[in-house]
Amino acid sequence: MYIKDLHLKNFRNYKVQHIQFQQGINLLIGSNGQGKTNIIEAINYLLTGKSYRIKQEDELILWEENSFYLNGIFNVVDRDINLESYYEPRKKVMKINQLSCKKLSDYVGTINAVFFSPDDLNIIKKGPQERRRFLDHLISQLRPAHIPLLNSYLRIIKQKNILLKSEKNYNLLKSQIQVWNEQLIELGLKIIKNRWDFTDRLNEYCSPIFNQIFSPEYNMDLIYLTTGKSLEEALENFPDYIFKKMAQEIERKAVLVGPHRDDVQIIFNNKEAKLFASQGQQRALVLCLKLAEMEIILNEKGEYPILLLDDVLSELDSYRRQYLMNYIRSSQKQTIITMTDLEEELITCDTPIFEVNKGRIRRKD
Amino acid sequence: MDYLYYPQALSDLIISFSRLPGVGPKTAGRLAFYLLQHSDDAEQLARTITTALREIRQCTVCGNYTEADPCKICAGERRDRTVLCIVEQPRDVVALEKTREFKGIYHVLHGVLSPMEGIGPEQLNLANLLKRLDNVKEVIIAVNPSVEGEATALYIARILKPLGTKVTRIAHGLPVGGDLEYADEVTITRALEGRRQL
Repeated sequence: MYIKDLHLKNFRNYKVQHIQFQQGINLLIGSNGQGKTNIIEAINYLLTGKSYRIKQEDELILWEENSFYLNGIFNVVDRDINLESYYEPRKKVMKINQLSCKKLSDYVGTINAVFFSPDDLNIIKKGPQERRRFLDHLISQLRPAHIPLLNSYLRIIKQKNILLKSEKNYNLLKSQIQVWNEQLIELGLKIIKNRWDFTDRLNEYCSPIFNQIFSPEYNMDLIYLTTGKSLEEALENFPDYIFKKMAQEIERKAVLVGPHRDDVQIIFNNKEAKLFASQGQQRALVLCLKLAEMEIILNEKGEYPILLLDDVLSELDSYRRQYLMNYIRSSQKQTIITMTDLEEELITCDTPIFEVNKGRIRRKD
Repeated sequence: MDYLYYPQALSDLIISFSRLPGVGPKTAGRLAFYLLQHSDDAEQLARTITTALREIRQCTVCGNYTEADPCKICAGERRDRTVLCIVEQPRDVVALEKTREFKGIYHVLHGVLSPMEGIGPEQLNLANLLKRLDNVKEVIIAVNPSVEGEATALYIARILKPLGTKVTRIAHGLPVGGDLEYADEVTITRALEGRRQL
């Protein structure tokens, strides 16, 4: 898959901009604050209907304008697909080939991209939420039904949380918790199963990559932390856990168990990577996860997703940078890279170089 | 806001309209100006609203809107009193009646469980339900298949089952005349789960 054309109107610091990308490597060069990342964000928004940087889309609109519009022409297998996003406050339209999509799940996953920025270090460094988000994002791209599943689940959690805080009558509280629990269990089991399956797949695909960027004495493992040590055990235990925790939930007035509190533990050399891996090793682990994501999507879709690298080359040590550069140069894949200084090694005679300057983009000859 | 430029009574009217479901500030303004220009229509509307509010009440038996209490369906002699269908809103009764397939009686909850909106079992028309079960052999729960609807259905089923009443839930899945390829994943998953043998 690759992006051929991108049109932006009133998006971030771009008034009107058109960019023609090529297959293979595309470089976006410019100083900080000129709008390189905004291009990556625009592509990402077109593909996912969301921004990874902000929650409120109003902030994506160019200053003193009242709407933004994005249009991208993508190629997948042997055909072109046109994706459009229009946004004005309280109105959002997403179209595939000129047809509006009613739901996000109709839209997400049509074209895939793997996005890698220095902030992805948070997958390792920060709390379980970041790791759940990483995993759910991957699952949603390949199993669109995961999105409504998560939404319904989170709605149940919200209803149950409010119920726990607001219902004063003990008997009424207990009888109501039971009915929310029944649904929470039904959907929770499906979420646990999806996440478990994809953690397994990540493990499978991480391992060959890991062996190439770490020396043989190191090892890596991902463990989905939930209600059991095996999927069967987890699924069997989950309903019991919910029932056992009920008294405690009533006392603490909060939902205490369920996949919204699960974690994906990243193990490096038999210890938790978050605590025991160095900064450089953590970066290499994220690289490993991201490239595994690429391979999983390739395996499922038969084509590589678009790789979006936002300012990450400079963060890696020379050996891993070389590895990543070899990776993006080999086989059929499109990579869009932002950087402040030109990396000569990446350039061949036909590599497009786009100079980004104050919300304007010019292709360098 | 524009309201500030209007006389008090006019802006009150606009604000009243904009509280109605599906009416935004622009439509509210258009409606208010229309009524000022067409005073006959306006008076007619005011009378109709007053009459409706005076004449329509909730049936003390089933909770449906009615002029006579008990309502026509509850008082109907040809109704099968062994089958009772539970719905969320009075409008759902109309939807079911239009099919002419259902001959039983109804019970209107006036909502579904939703802690977010402060709706618990006590806010629903549930107390009356228990008084009506003497001759009922089957209770059909026909609330909407939302997360809240499901919770409500389960809640009612839990209360009714110990009393020995048969409780059923309407099927959910593909709409008749719909295309499988255009249905969303959740609907198809539900339809698969509810498949039956031929």
